Amino acid sequence: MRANILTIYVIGVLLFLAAPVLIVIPSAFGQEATLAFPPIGFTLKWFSNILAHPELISAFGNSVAIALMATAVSLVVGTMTVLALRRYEFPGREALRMLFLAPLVCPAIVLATAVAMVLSPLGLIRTFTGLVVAHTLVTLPYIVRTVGASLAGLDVALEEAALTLGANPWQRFRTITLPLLGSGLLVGATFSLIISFDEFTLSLFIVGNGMMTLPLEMFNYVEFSIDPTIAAVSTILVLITTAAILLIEKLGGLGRQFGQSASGGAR
Amino acid sequence: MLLLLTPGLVFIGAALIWPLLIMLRVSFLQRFPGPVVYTIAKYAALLDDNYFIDITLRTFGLGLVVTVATAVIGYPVAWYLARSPSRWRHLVFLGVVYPLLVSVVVRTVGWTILLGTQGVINKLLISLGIIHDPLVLMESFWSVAVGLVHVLLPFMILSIAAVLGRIDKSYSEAAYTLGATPMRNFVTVTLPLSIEGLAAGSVIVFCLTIGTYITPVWLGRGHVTVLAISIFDEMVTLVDWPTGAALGMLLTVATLLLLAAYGVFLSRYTKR
Amino acid sequence: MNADMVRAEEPVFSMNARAAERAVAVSLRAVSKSYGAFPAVAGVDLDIAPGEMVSLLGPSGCGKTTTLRMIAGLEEADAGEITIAGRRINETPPWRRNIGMVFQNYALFPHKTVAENIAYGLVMRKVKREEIARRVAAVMAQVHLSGLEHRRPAQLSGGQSQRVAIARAIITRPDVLLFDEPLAALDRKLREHMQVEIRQLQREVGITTIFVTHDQEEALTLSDRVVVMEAGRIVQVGRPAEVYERPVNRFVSDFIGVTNAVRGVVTTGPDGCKSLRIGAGAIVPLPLHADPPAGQKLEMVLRPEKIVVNGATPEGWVSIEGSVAHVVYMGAVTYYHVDIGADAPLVAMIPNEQTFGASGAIPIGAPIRLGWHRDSAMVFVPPDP
Repeated sequence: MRANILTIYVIGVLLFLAAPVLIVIPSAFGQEATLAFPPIGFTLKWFSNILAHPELISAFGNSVAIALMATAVSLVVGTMTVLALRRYEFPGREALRMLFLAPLVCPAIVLATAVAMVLSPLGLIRTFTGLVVAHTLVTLPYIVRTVGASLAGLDVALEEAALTLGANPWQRFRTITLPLLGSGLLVGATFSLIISFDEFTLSLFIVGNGMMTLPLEMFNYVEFSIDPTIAAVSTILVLITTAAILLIEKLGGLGRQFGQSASGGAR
Repeated sequence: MLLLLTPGLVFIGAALIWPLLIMLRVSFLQRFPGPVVYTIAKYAALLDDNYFIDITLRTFGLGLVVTVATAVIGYPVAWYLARSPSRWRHLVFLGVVYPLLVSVVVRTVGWTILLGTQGVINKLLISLGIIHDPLVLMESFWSVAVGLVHVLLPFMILSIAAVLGRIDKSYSEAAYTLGATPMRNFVTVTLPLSIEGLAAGSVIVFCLTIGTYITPVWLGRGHVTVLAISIFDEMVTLVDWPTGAALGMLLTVATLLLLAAYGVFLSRYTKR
Repeated sequence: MNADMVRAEEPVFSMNARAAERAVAVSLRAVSKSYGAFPAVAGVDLDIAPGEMVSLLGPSGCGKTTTLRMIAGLEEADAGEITIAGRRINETPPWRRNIGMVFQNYALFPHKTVAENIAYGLVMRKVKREEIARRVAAVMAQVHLSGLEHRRPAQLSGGQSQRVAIARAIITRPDVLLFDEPLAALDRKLREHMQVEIRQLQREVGITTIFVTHDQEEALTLSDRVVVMEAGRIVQVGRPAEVYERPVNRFVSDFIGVTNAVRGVVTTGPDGCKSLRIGAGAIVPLPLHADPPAGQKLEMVLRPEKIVVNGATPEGWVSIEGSVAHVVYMGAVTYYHVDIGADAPLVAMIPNEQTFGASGAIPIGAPIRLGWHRDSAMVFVPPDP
């Protein structure tokens, strides 16, 4: 009996969490020109209307490019950092690890303000580079955390065995560490892509005419006209996110992102 | 070798530490960009002004409300995730994590459709005859609170679930054999053991709430001003960077104090 | 048999020629290592002959694993010199030391097949593909793994996993083969089987082998020589029989095998014979080789299997009366705890030669006569209290 009440409660909370998404998607298909639910009629015209808004398309392209760059930088820098933190013991190692995770706890608005104050004198406001720097700041902690957890689950004996068999550190990394980290890297990268793609607050201070990201362009759009076009864009985004989640699940699950370790050791 | 560590150190130094230091410096300037005149006038103005005190109280009040709400609402879900042997557990886990990955813009559009004057709830209530005129569900502190609870609930649930999952079931089982009823068992055994998870989740939720921008802007429609909105106004609209920086510093200090308190709590608590 | 045929073609594995030239394959001189203030290894000197199988035996924390890892190059020595095949290797990184190591949990690469695991060392040494294939097949035959080339480590049993680990380590013809607790992860039956296999393989291949273990049975079974370690130092080195029968102190006598220990004071009998007066007055003649001064406090150490019960007492044998305090039936043997008026009962291990079972045992409280050869016992000076 108690279990049933709990189950109903949990389902209720899940519905609450899913509500906005569940509402947005059907709204993209309604005939009416106002965002309404339930939608009346069925049409795909709002999806094709997206094409009539070049600013949305260019913002989408920007967001994709920024996400790819930020993720690439985070992967390289993050993996190097995580390897160094694991291999070498030095005083303050834990504090340093915390430092790399700090952007996660820092209020986004503070990060946004501070970064803007540095980018502006450098002339990096409204530039691609400026946005990549800001996004890397936000995605790096996720990579450090995911790849770090993956690396922690990697049996040290495997790497030592490689050394005793004649592999120098670079060969060990290439033939043993990297392949076994593989899925952890992919999960971290996917997560990073999503985080960057959805990033709002830091971008808020950096974007401008000529260099916009999709979330901010959508925000602008809604300020002036609330029509189902925005719901159509949202639907596409939801589809992309869902595909990404399925990919992550296939690669070993979201559990990994939240701290569970990869399995790399022998029995 | 330090060679491996250098890129990371350089980046964090340049993208996090340096900007924060700059922000600290700017908060003590008269104008920025401009001639270098150091002053604490900006801070003084903030601490004196009722407007800003109001905003600060509202922001922290929001933090408190959202934290308590997510803790209360989220705990049972965390329990389900950690303890239930059901085979739907993984789906529930996905259901909790999924909203985190959906763009906040998408979610806010959804909330608008739900809560707007022509939104779902109003339409439903009018069609049921409960009300005649649409309720203004947005534009209020509470709509912002609900929106934030929605955004931050997964963080709280996951924090608690992680700790609950690690608690050895045999503690509860021992309590049962000693005569504890399920309710007393929970209150006296499980709840205290899960405090760590509650604390971690609360810190995350509170920190994220006091720094939030988009949800108050959108759901508040200009009627709910929080610190983040104020910072934006100072930085972009009024172009008074020193004041913006000062507000940012105040927010940072509040966050650091909270983290320090959490750290003290952790070390004292886990030393039992 | 496969292994024989392979050897007829060419010596796929043979004792490393370099090592054969020198009388010592591995040498440690004054090797030490500390972790902060904790001295894990405090000055170790050891010479290991080519082809020898040596065990480092001791309780956890005695430094045996640290010593092994220093030989492997996975830890750096703070002081002292480590030599392999005559070459000082302190500064040489592990991938250039030409060693083979088998880890406690085998450390098989999960993303590679059995064949790829075994070939790994050869790949690192840039051996040509055809030769790799040939040598992998040969060594797999030698460890009885043929047919499992394409399996993954997750699909292997414990015994198979260990054989893959061994094959992987020896295929590169290392100067030294290192084992970290080789049989700890196996269950009893498998362990006994693998003990025999490993010993045979080692003899066949002739690689100098060092293995670390906390299991004294394993050390006695597998080694040519046993190195007993305690608190970072070597306490005794010798053949298994030496270390068992003639331990150099109480630590060794207690760590290896089971033993009795009784305390007493030395007295000189009327015939000049030195004896130990124990507890309530019983006199126990000391071993012939012992000649301590009268009045000295001593501990006499005696292994249970050396004691006979109610038997004949020929020349040179000790005989003592006592009463049975406790009986423990263990199937093949029976243990009698006998009160002889000392500070602790003497435990005698008696094989159950006839099928009396527990019912045929001497009952508790019954009088019993214990006997042992005088030289079976060992004497030590107890530490000051």
